[in-house]
Amino acid sequence: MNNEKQNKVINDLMENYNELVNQIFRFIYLKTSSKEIAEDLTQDCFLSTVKYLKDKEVRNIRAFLFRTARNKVIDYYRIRNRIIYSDELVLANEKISSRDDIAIKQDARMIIEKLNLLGEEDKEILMMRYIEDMNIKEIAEALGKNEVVVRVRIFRAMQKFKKIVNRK
Amino acid sequence: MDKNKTTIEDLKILKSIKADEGFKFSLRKRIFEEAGKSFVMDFKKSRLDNQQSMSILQICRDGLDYLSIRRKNILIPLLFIVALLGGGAGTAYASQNSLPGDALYPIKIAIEEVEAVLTIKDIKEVKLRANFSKKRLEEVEKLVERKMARPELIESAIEIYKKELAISQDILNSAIVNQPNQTAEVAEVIAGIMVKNKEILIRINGKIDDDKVLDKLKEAWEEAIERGDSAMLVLLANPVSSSSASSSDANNNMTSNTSATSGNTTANTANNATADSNANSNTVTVILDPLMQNRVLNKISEVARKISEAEKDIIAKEVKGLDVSADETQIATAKILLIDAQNLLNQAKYQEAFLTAREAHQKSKIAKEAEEHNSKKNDKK
Repeated sequence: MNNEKQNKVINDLMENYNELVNQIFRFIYLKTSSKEIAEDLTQDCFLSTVKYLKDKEVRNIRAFLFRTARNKVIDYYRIRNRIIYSDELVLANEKISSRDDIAIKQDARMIIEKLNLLGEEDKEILMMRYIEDMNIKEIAEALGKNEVVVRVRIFRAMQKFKKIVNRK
Repeated sequence: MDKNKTTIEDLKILKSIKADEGFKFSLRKRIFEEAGKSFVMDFKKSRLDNQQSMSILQICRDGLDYLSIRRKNILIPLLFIVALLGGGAGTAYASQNSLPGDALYPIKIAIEEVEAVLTIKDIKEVKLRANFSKKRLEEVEKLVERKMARPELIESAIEIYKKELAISQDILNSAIVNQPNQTAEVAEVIAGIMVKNKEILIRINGKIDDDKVLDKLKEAWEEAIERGDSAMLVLLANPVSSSSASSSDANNNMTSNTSATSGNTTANTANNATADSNANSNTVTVILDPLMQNRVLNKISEVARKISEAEKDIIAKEVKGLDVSADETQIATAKILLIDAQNLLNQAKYQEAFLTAREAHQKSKIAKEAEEHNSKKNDKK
């Protein structure tokens, strides 16, 4: 990748910085339920992305940031030996409603509680699709999966989420 | 199908979770430092590009929205570009008193954009820009005073104001990276104008009845506080000479006076906190910089006012027989944090004191929001 392209990607990142940082922070916060951890990992995610861009190519900066953020969360929990990250397992110790370290409206708090009842992969795929408005291609790139698989997973995750919402 | 839509809309509520402005600000600085080692950072150029594209595309779009004549989608943008480029001095002059919704408003914005693009130095630009944000708020106020104005129009005028705030923040960030010598001066201008903006916002608040517009105004208020805080944190880290600081300091004094008259509890709470901490720290003598002290004290007063408002809400809630234990815990934490802030201020730890006061502000906000949510729920019932 030549210098011009790299500069363009980094300047694109800075132009959309506000939106991107909110999206990555929110993604990590909803996975970890801690503002402090979310800020640390968001910072790691952006700084390591900038370092990566120095000699490697990135096509879609948003998808790449989400992929990095996802890996950062996995690494974080691996280091702390808290979870084995898989479709079936959940963040066992972290399945709590959001802590009171961030101003969250009551209705949002209730949605988080319901979202936390899903498995991690279902939760993150719904977050990417419906909270962050990412398209299928971007999600596929962020998750390292095929687009068809992503479509099916979104559908299934939504079915599960609807069941949870309608349970009451 | 409808159920599906509702579920998706439920998820979208989570968009309200956002990173702190302070955090965004420091991360942005670190990215610039990191990227600056290997990349050509074209921050200023990209910002000007944004302004230029805004002045041509966005303004045309906004103009069309205001005029509600979207259907003529080819002819009208052309008309606007012609108006922008060749409208002549008469049109330009006539547009100066226009408001959002008026046909000449896009031209007024375009003229200001051109003015901003032509102003090269950051300090001049920030003064100009900061003044734009005040102008936008005054427009909101005039629209509110026009009883016939549609709520959507007022909401979009508030949105335009928020865009101006974001640009001021970008300029401050740019100054930190590109012109460290001018950072304090830029921050001073922004902090000063935010004080004025808050005064106008309070005035507007008293004139609005529509709930949706009030919510929008509340967002603008929070954003103005965030921008003012970011600028203030820069100032607390980079003290400026007393001569250049005096103007905004006068504004700050003015605000603390107004806040003392509007809410008596404010000054009392802050004074109590001072008295408590004086009693605790009488062994060590610290010489305080009056200017820095005043800046932090203004924040402490603002938070104290917020806490006393939240306390009133809690009492009202208790009277209705609702559970207030969680809110009381939050408020108690906020009060402790406020006293901590005062103690830190007495030790001349200005930045830490300011950040602790901000934390207390967050706590009191959570309690207040929970109360607002419950009262809305009860109203619906």
